[in-house]
Amino acid sequence: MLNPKNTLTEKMTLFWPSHLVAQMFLMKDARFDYDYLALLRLHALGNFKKLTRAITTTPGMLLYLNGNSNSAVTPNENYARELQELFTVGKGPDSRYMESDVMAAARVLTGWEDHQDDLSSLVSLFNPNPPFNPLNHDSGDKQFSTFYNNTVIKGRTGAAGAKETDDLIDMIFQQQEAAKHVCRKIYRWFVYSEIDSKVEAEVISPLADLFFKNNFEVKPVLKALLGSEHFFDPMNRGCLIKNPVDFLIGACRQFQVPFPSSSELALQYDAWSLAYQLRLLGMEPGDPLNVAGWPAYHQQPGYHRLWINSNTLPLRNSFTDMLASEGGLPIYSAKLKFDLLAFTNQLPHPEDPNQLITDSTMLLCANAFDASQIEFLKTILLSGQKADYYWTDAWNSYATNPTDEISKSVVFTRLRQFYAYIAQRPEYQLI
Amino acid sequence: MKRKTFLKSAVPAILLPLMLNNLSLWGCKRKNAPASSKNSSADDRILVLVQLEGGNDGLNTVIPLDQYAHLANARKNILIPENRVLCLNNSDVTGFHPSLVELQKMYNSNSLSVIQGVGYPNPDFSHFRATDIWLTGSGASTVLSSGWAGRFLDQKYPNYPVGYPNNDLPDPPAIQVGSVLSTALQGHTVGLGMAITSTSFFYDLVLGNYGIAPATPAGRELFFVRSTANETHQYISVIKAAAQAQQNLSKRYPETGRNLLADQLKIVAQLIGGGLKTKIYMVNLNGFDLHNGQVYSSDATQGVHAQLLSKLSEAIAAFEDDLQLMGTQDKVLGMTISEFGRRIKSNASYGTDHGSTGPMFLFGSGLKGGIIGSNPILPAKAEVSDNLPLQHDFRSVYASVLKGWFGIPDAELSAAMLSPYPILDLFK
Repeated sequence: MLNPKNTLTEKMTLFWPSHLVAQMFLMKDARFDYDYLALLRLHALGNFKKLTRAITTTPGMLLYLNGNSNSAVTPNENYARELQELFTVGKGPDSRYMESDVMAAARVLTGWEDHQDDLSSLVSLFNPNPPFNPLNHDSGDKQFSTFYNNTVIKGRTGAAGAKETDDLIDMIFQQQEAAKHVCRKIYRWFVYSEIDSKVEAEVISPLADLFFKNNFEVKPVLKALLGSEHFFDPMNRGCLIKNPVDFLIGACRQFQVPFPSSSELALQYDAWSLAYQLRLLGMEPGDPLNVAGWPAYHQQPGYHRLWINSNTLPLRNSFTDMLASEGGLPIYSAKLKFDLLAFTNQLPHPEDPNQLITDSTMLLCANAFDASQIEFLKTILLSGQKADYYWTDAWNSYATNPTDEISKSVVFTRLRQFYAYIAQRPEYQLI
Repeated sequence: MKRKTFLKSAVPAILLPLMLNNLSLWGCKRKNAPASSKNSSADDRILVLVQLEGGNDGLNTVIPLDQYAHLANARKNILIPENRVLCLNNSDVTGFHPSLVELQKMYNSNSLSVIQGVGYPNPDFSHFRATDIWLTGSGASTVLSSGWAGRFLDQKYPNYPVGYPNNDLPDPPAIQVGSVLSTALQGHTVGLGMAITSTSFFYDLVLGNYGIAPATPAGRELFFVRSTANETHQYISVIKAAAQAQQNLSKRYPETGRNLLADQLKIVAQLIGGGLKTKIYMVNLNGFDLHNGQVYSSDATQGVHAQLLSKLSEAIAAFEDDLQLMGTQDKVLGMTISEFGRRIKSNASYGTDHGSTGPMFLFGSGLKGGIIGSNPILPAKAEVSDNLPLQHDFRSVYASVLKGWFGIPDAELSAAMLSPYPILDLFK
């Protein structure tokens, strides 16, 4: 997430585990974690149906939602339920699948094994033939409700029993509801938490149609949403509260925090323990609190506001304060520090305090700062002086001789306060 | 003298009902209610730093009457007429700018000291660099990233912010009013305290007033984050409790908005009165960079500099009055700092350019008072490049405050100041 060539891929790689949840820390096998994560990244901008099919039998998911102990004799409905309730058709007003559909789906899914002690069980990447035990499979016919057009999935015996899972996925993905449910989540991920009837009719429905028509290809949906007038409408901009990854990893990216390279492996791992800070802020990637995913994307009425509370907001502020400080944010032996000079250097006119304020705040915050905040930022850059050239002289003196410690400290001292102040603003919490 | 006697006898009669009223309203909210501090111990002492931003013109602030002819040669167009200079008790060679009426009274009652010719060797004439030198306590050719007061507080409160707030220090180690946390308060790793970035922010906070949520989605969310921020800052509750435990008592504060320094000091007095254990407060007054229009061409006693000095004088007097009425005056020391003085010779636009040394004011009842040092010696005919000589290193003043006021041991003193400096005899 720190150095992606394609930020949208990473943004979606983080989205999918919030939707197709398998808490990675419960998998207890790093190979399962890897496989799950690799699948999410592989299909991040690919096909949602294919992703769902692959996730259904990845060993981590079989372990997490008990697919590995779902057999003809002792059915376990856990995955069959979440597959419909959370992952695909959802619980929207028009999603009317029934309890009998959960039971039928559970029967379809009998027979899968995770083979935790067998490397070849890593189905999706290493082994195209996942372990399926026909002896545990329920080979009877499965009758579904009117919601699924009274579909009957014909029971199969032997290794062919595994094909029933494909039939199940095909049946579920014939429902428009699967498209609607995911489009609502994508909307909450990229635009805003609140979906009123107008947004439902004018944005979600057409997006879901597009998703459905394109056989659940993700790219056309993102292209339509992220290129829409709705997305760029000032009314819909800068109103989403950053999740902890947007906030902390985003800050490291914006301010070009240098991370240790692989030549300092121990230090590199120390720095990557930044994941712990994300956990403190309430979002450890890959490990939502429960199968429903992070509450900020489904829990009414707070939604994204749930990221911000009396514990997390002071923490957010202290992290950016430390990242902007001379000492940096210590993580074991590593120290993470904003490269404030590099950030400022990339702006078109860092020597002009007014331009510097406009350009940096526009780059860092989606919402414009008001006049009093801009004036305050200027007093920081000018150390309370009135004439702009004091900053200009200081910057130019640094720019012409960047290795001079005194010139550097003069601009750095002010930039440290300047950017720490910006990162403390409520505006910096929005995206 | 008469004023002080009057105040002493008049206070109880005038303020009794108000104080009773306060007690009934707020008195029980905070346990450590302000105790009378007649015998303040070093442990509960407080320092208030007043930063005069832009470089104050020392020669028109503390006027060397024994050098008046040379002064007149150097700065005829901005010269304060001799008969308008405010005289000081026991000194016929030094006087104050006519705007410093209140500071003159404080000086005459020994609650204000003047330290002459403060600066450092090889002075830097850049605002930024000179400001950093004064705030970090570095020399002209060294760079420090921590502040001198921050290093003092680092010693006093090890590992801050880890493990704070705690029972020993439930309050911020330092509070900056009216700006971001100053470099002076920067410790080795983090800033040691909190910034109350504006006076309106403070009152909104105390009153729980977060304005109105704008009608756009972004406006609503900003309002939500802002409200949460104000409610959950780690020190907000102690600040609110202190503000509720003590109201300002002095009637001498100017109307809000007229004197920004007074507005800031008013908050400081209230927080001190409310019992915060905060050691250092920092406030500021800017606008001293007067390259032109320092005085009116028609009247050198009037103009922007006169207005600024008048604000300084009025604000400090109201603050001291407030502290007296609250009974906290004996534990508070104030000190002005400014990044440099100005040139001896004035320029043609009724102003002065960046110079070297200048006087510092210290105020508070714990001081011995008087003038430390002597008037600067001025050349008979000052050239543009002539500057005032150095008498006292500013770090010597800082060290004297840390040792004499806070009573810190020598090991901590050297950790804060990094080098030894002469200790001045400032305190009773």
